[in-house]
Amino acid sequence: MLENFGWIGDEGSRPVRPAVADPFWVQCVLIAISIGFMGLFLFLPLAAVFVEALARGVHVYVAAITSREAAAAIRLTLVTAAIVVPLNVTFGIAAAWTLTRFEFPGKQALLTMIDLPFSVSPVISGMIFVLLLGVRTPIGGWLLDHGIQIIFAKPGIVLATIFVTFPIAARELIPVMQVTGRDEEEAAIVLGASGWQMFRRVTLPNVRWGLVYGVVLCAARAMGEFGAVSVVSGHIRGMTNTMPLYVEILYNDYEFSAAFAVASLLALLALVTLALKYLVGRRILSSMRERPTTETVKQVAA
Amino acid sequence: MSIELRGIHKTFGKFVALDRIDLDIGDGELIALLGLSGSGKTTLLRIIAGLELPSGGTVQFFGRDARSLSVRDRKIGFVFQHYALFRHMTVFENVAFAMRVLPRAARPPESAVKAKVHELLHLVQLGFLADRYPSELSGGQRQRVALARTLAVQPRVLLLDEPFGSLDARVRQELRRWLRRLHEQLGLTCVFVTHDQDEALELADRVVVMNSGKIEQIGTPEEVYHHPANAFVASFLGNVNLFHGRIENGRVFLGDTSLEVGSTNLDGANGSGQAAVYVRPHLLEIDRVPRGAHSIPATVRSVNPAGPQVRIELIAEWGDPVNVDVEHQRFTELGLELGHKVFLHPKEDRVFVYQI
Repeated sequence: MLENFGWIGDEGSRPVRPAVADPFWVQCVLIAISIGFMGLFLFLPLAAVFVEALARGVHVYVAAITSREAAAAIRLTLVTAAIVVPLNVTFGIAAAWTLTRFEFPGKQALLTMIDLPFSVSPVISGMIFVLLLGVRTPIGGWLLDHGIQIIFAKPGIVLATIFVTFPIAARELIPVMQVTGRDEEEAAIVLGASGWQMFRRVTLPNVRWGLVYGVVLCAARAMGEFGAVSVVSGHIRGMTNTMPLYVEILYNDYEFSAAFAVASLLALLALVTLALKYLVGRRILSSMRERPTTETVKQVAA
Repeated sequence: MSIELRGIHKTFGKFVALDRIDLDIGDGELIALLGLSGSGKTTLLRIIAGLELPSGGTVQFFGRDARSLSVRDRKIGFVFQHYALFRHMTVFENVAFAMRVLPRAARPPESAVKAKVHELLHLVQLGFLADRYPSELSGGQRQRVALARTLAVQPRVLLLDEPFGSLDARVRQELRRWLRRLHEQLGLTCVFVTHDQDEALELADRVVVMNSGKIEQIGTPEEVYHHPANAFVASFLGNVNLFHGRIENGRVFLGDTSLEVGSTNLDGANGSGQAAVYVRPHLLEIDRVPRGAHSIPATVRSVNPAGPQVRIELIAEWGDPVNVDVEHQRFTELGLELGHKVFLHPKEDRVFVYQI
């Protein structure tokens, strides 16, 4: 008798809720906690930067970011990024290619080693270069004799930035290249493409969004790096100050408005990076969705 | 001769993928490499294409050593299992790719590229899809675009890796017929890899049956089906019943029953010892009464009349399960029911015996 099983047919008498949904009040509490936390620790400080920067008027703000020293810091930051990003991308493509297209002993070790700069404190990254290339070391001394100064000069800043950004592009490219697989590249070769034609017409377009993502992240890190650069820079005003270092100097000199003005530029940069990251991330997702997933998984396994 | 393979050997680490393969492929032939996954068939195809280097042995292309030929100069068309269409290019650009990457001097003008692409897309009946991206096509359409793209290099040999593997049954049938027509029309030498025996038997001029890196048999579909060279081929191609019997002085015994076996099918078995006996289900006859001393007694276990023939599952006197296919008319005549004792006779002498 069906009547004995009371739950059959009496859905109408009880509110039906999907088994995985939380009660309404739980949802409210969770949302409130997340938004409150983000407001307190993200939006408030970010807003404070801009408020503080403009506290003494637009004139002071403009003067602070157009002063000779500020301009030099901005220029050095941009030049460093302009040198580091292309190198990082070149290395990233080479490393991702090596690690996803060839089998060789020590591959796993190399994959782990690439991440080293991420797991080391930036200060130590800077120290490494001071210990290696400082004026009192054999190499540094020899270079100085030949008129090249690395530490406490611009080359040191570039080197330290290269070191700390080292894994970024490779890290973004490896998963994308793994998913893409070899098939299309082999197809290009069989259709008569040379190695370079294959790379330019097939490989690169397939990983382009991963690459752009890597560039954005790398540029952001290169411009924002403080620790490693601080150690090798020597803080010479107008000479070896990058934007983050210059902010610290201004702050230590009690020039709060100027410090926050330059800091606001860095904050803006972060927001732009975030927006780009979001847009590119969406493109990667949508291009991933076009991919035949099960097949590539099989190939990766093989 | 289009392609001659001599002693092709391929190892991946300690794994032997191909073990001294010899194979000649004639001009304009349609060849099937048939085997289970892991039998080395795809590796062999990739070696012919030049995508993989053999660990040993030689490949000759139209009389020239393949080592002296780059992949580009081999003039082969390769259709990948999952088509490997360039996902960021339209169908048009996919098909035009081979012409676009030609050395500058040999590159045809844009108008010629256009004409050629449209001609090829017309050939595969997909002209109306030129501006679409691969992700917007169905499996069968992708397959045909892949073919059109491949034909743009004007290949002398067409290699296809599981060409119909990931398509549903109806599309597969259609494409099979279409490929056969295309082959006849263009007169290309074709080699395709498949794990589907029906596909190989229906499509190919010759079938190469492969198993764990070795060639088990090369022959026309008729030869490999009706005269399998060994136990593997017999059991791999078509349905078979396997009986464990023994050979005594050239006579084959199943249980206490001695079997009539044509002498040609005893090639693999001389002397005495254990034997594997294969009989196809439709080559066994059922009778209610024994027909001489060579009948196999069996009991009816189940009957499935849904199909072109009635499938009857029996159990032989000595315990081996047996499948028999009979015509519906014959089934009605016999009036079989579950549990009936019957007698089986292999038709003619179509029994395969292999000493084990």
